[in-house]
Amino acid sequence: MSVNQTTIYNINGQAINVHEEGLPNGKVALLIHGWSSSWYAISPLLPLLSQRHRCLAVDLPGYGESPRMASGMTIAKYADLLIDLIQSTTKQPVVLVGHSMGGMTSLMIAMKRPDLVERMVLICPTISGNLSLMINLTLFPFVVLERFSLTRAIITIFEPLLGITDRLLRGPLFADRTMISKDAFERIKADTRRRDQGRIRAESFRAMRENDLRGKLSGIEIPSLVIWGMEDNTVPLRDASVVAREWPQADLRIIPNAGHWPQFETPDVTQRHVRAFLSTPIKLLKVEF
Amino acid sequence: MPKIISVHSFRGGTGKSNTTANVTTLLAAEGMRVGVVDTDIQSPGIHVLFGVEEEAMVYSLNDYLWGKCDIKQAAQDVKANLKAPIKGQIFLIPSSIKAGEIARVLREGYDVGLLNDGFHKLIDDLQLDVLMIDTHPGLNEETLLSIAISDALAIIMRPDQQDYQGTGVTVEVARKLDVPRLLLVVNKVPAVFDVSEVKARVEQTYNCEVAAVMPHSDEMMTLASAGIFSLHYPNHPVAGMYKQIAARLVA
Repeated sequence: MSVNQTTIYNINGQAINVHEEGLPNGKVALLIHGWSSSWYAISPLLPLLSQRHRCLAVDLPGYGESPRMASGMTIAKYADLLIDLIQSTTKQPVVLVGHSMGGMTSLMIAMKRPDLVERMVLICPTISGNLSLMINLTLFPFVVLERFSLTRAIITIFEPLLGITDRLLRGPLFADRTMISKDAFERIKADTRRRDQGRIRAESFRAMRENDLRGKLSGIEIPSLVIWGMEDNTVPLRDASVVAREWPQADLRIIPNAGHWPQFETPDVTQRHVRAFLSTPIKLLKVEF
Repeated sequence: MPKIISVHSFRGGTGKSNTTANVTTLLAAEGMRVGVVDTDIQSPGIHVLFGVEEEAMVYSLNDYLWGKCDIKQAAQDVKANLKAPIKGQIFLIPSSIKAGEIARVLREGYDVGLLNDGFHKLIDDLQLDVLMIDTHPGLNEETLLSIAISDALAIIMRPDQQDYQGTGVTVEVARKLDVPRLLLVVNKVPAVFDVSEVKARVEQTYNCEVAAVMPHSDEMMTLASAGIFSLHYPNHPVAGMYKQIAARLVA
């Protein structure tokens, strides 16, 4: 029997909103979204993953429906919290699926507790922690302005007239000829504009920069698939080069006509890569001749 | 529990497809539902043994790997082609024999995980008792996968120096990938050889069970892959050896 429900987990006093889908007795797949989003960010993979796994798609503290961490977040704190979540739900190694900042968080979990992770799927993961110039010039100032009620009010008045978020989001987030549906676009946009999340956005922006993973990837032995949109203008493909250079064991796939959201923009190709990777027996991925 | 059985050889021309087809037929004759997948995408051939004409291949394994069809759609019920009383079922998933489609796989490659997914889907959808995998000679992605997921593996070799060395490589790979049951079959042994001596030497060399030492057979050469040997010559000693191999593989 398959489930589809939302549960609030309480881990060391921190509430986490978790969307659960799939087989209750299946291997756990933990889905970790990125900056300014929610569990919805990886939802296109849920039908596929649910066929074999018990999927836990979290709202990271401060995002979606999960309350902020009282003492402020760092990537390491997110990783520690999710390590505790994994240990409270299963005794078997899990599959981590992380998008963007969630990819960086997955890597932190893998470095801290490799024994808890069977394999990883990382979609456009932040590696250096530096986002693209395009994001820094366009979206970030906008996010900062939204932190303050006065500027937020001004933006809220003019936004419908100017379609400013649409224009700001399209370039950095999506490919030129993106296939993302209008509904999905609206939902992603709504997530980036949730009220009262200005502070967590600023915190996460800094947290990623302070968590530069360059020079640290070579020791990761967990079999991993890294998917990147060829037109990702959010996390620059410079970070994909770091993966290729430092972590040649990772299976790096660059997808044409996808930007920062290949799971929405090129769903068939993305799902094919994920299905193929998850269906490869773990002993074949790990064997050395 | 359904079983996955792979038949492999390091070099070509050892009799892999003939062994696969005969074991398949013998298991089906006992009432089992058997699937056969031709993963020898580069040089497919087992469909010939099962009497499948090129025009009859609507979908092939290639189409499944390219996402053009469900793997079940590529499965053909080939029992009727054999014109013999068989209690069970035989489903063949052929590889494409079109030059362009073979070339495309070589050029683009494919994801081996999809193959694994397909194997398991076949077992579920067709309610198979046994899935037989006929592989390409040597080591490549699909042979590694098939070895990794098999419950039993038969490695076919000839008494030939090149085969001896290559078989050593395959045995090593199979051991690293923890295949639960590993069998060797020595095939095309010249009549002048002492069978028990060959068996003892091969077993000692690889520290592995030898399921059969099969003589070179004129009848097999004459049949020339036009059919299943065990059905054409049910009382021939070679047919008896195929039975022995089949029994050891599902034991």
